[in-house]
Amino acid sequence: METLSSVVSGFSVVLQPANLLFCFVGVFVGTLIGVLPGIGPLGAIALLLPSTFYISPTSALIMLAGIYYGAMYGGSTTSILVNIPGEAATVVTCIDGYQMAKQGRAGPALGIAAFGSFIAGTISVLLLSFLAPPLARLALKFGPPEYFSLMILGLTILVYLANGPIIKALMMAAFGLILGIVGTDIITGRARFTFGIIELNDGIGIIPVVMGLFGISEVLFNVEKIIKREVTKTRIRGLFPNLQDWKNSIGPIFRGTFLGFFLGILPGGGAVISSFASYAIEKKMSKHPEKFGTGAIEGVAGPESANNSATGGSFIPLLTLGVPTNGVMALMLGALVLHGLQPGPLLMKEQPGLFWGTITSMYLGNVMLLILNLPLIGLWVQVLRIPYPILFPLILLFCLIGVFSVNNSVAEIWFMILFGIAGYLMKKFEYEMAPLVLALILGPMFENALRQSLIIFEGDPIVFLTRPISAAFLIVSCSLLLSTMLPWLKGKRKLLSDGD
Amino acid sequence: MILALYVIVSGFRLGFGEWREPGPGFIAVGSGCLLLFLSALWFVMTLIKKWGIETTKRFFIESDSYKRVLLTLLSLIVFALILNKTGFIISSLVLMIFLFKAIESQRWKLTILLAAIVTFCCVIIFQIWLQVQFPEGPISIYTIKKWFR
Repeated sequence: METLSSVVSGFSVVLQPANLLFCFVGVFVGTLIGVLPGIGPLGAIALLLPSTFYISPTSALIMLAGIYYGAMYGGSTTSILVNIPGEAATVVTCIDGYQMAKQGRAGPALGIAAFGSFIAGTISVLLLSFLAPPLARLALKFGPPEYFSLMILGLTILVYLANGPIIKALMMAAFGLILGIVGTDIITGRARFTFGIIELNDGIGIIPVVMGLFGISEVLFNVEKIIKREVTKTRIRGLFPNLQDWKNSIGPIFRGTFLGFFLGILPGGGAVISSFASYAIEKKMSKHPEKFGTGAIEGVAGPESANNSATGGSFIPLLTLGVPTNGVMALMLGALVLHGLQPGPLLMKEQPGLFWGTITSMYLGNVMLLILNLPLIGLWVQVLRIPYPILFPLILLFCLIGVFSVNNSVAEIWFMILFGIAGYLMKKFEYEMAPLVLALILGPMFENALRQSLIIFEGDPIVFLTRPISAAFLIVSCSLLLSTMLPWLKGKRKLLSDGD
Repeated sequence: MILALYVIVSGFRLGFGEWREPGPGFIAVGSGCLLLFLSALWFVMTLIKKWGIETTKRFFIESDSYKRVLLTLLSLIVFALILNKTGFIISSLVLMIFLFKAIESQRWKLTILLAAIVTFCCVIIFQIWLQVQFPEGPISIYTIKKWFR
């Protein structure tokens, strides 16, 4: 009952004209950048972050959240029509979505992506509304050991879910932790790995790292060979899926919704992983797995629902624990801190308008996206027709402006270029970037939690195992790692014996 | 491995501390050791795996791919170098013209038109609307305003 009255008060916040406008701006910009390949929600949020100084924190968070889930909607359009994912989270939609478009069924593919996203987005907001309060109460029991173990769990999940060898993913996580150390030590005040560069005193910013690793490296990778994008030429009509399409899709939509939401909550989970997991599950559960890859609507409905639902889920750790689970959430945390607010268990009590206003804005934002996406498909298609040789200079310029505008510093541009080169090489040598980014985001919190725990409990590491919540997180982490080690060891033994 | 060793040594210099009171280099030593161990392991595994196997995988997709990658990087470096001196408008124009011409050469008219439109829109959106404080340089919105007075 308390939650319901809070939701109602949230609606009264979001229905204020200014907040409605910022919600609309957020979802529109989000859809646009989701459509454009190369610039993700993180880049767009980085670009718009400085502008949020001039608006209220509630409006700022509403707009930034709109960009995040709007990008998930927009990303599916490029995946279906051009076979190029606008977003990492919509990579998997290409597989069946593009095949459907080639068969003249682009309309139902786009339609089910939009409806699935709407249903998933709505359910995830409802789940968020009902789960956030008890989780915030639970979070009050968290001390440094629990936070430390939670971050270990987050990093383990990301390493566990990484493509390719687990050693490479672990190396990237370790490298991310090292990058997270850079800056002034908050306990002793000593500068660490700053090399006399003033801009490094506050640590390496997440924005230059992420825009370099994902934005610049993507462009460098794509300019190697300029591919002409073929936008589907058939007229897009019949956006409403037929009854059979609905029958096939309704199960994947609901499964994707719940899977995405709970993966979104976990640090290291999120939209990308949940979309891949949903696709794998749908293929496994299907009576006709052979149809996957040839234009199965389930392959669009499940992942699209999962990635939208994950965006809602990923707000839970941020709003209740103050722990960002991905780069976008790290920027949201930054936006709140800029306004003098500290996300965490007390946010809901101290700032109910902001907390519930943001949550209910997602509900309205999903309605706006449904209205925006279906009639405006034609407009998004036109955006897609911009040739890449014209598009990539714009992407680069937006990245440069976004990075510069955060601190008005050219040093940030240099960091972005460096990480762009690093990201390009990592792509070439098949190293995963996600563990690095999450480790960098969690690094400072991880260090504080570990050092505080050791100081409080007089250097006794057993404390991590004697406190139930912390022990549970560590047991799950160890189980995950062990489960990967066994087949990994088997594989390596086989490889060595093959070599012999 | 070299990076990991450097981090470990620097971590000890910063101060490892003790278990009761970890120092500023505590995590550096820990994560450096982890990175050293993993990279050494990966190095050995790669050696064993690739022993006697000739790799044919090319680094670049096409013979002139490296040119495009280097030119793109060069454009970013030049932008970073000149931004504070020439201001946003000139830097942006130079970057756009260079990229439109150097990678997949567009016609001069189109190049200049596109560069001008993009720069104009960026100034309107970011500098005027979103209040981003770009370096001014010889040509900025303020000098343009003065010309019109």
